[in-house]
Amino acid sequence: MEFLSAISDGQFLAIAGAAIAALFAGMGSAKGTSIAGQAAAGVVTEDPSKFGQLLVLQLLPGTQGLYGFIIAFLILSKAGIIGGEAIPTASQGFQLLAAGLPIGLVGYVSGIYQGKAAAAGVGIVAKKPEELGKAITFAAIVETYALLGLLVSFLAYNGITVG
Amino acid sequence: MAQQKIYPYAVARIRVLEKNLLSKHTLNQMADEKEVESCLRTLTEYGYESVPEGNVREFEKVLSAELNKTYAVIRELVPEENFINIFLYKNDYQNLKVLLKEEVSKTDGSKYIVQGGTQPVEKLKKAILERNYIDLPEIMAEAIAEALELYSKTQSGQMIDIALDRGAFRQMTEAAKKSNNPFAIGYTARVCDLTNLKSFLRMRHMNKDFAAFMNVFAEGGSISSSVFFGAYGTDNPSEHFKATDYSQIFEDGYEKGFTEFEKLCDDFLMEYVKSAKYIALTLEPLIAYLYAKEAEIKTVRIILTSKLNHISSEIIKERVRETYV
Repeated sequence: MEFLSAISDGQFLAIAGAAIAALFAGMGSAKGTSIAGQAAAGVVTEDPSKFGQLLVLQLLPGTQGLYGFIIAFLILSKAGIIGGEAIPTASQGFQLLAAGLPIGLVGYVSGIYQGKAAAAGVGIVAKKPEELGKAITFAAIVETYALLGLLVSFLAYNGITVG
Repeated sequence: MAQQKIYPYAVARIRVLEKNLLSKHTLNQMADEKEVESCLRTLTEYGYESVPEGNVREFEKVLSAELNKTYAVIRELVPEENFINIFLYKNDYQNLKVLLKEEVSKTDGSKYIVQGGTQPVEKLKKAILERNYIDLPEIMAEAIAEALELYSKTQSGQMIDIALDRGAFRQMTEAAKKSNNPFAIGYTARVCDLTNLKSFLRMRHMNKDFAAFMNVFAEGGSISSSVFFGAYGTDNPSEHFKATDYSQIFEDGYEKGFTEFEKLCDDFLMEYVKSAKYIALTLEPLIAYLYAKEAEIKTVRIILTSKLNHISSEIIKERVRETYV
């Protein structure tokens, strides 16, 4: 019984929501920046002068991790873990948990796929450095969906009243 | 569909190296040069080694060094992948031909030995000398045994070539299967088909019978021997290849003679390989780069040899193949 009451504790559920947002979005970004980074390293091995341009492409899939972090931070502060006084009830905890899901899951998937698009963009820059803008655009389109995930997470978070 | 492994680093490096491939434009310019020396200078600009002063006839060493450099890069990039063997086995079989002929004719063929095979030449030499093929790949062992047996029956050096060529294509097809890469498998199937089409033309031209053609038939292609059988005796073989992927080659090249036909075959293969240009993460661009480099070196060899033999630029240009870039 103690276990059941522990996992239906409002604060615990809120932490779980924050963890999902930070965990999965962070993993997506780690994978994405790694794929893009490997491709960038391939080009820099042959042509070190392209480092600056390629760094932009590598950074693009890194934003998902940041979004996940923001949502996690907001959830934790609303749940009274960092600052704040109100302690969420069990049902409010579940609401905060649900709010963490969009950016967590979309961040994970879009991070990886954005990394692949960025790696393909690295191929463009390898041959035609003047087309960096186009390479960035292709990868940035994937960003849209991470942003939408962030937006839904934020709207949900914003609508939850704790206390 | 099973997920293919991705190689962002390797593909990106190849993308940069592709910039050093010679374009058709550059090759045509080389064909236009008056001096062989200027051609060789162009090559050094694109990363080839330079030929020692006054030794233009040594260019073969430069080409072979360049090819080995390419093999080394691919090996370094994807040491765990084995598709490179598809390209290397033909060097082994070339060496086997030289070694076996050396043995039966007691002559020195060492200048025809090539580097870059999967097996060290010394190992091949020892295996042939001791008639012990236990350390060689199975198909290779069978091919050597068959070559020696056919030779002892016919006393014809040509039979050695025939047996080993057959082995080489079998080995190549097997290597492609082992690589598990659909692009590599498609590549070898096309190589086999095109080889058969060229043999078909050559054999018919020499008025050989169908049995002679079947002797040099390479297994592993998509056109079965029965299609060739149907086309062999007819006056208009193009009809029989209408349903295959190669109908265009026949339409454009059948009347124009063997040199042109061979060029169309090379261009056809290049067209297939070019599809890898737009793949960003998987192995295909590496396979394509290997082929592109081999094709480039082949064209450079045609240009340099023609130049040394004072063939006119116009004729050389007609022989310049499509390029990857």
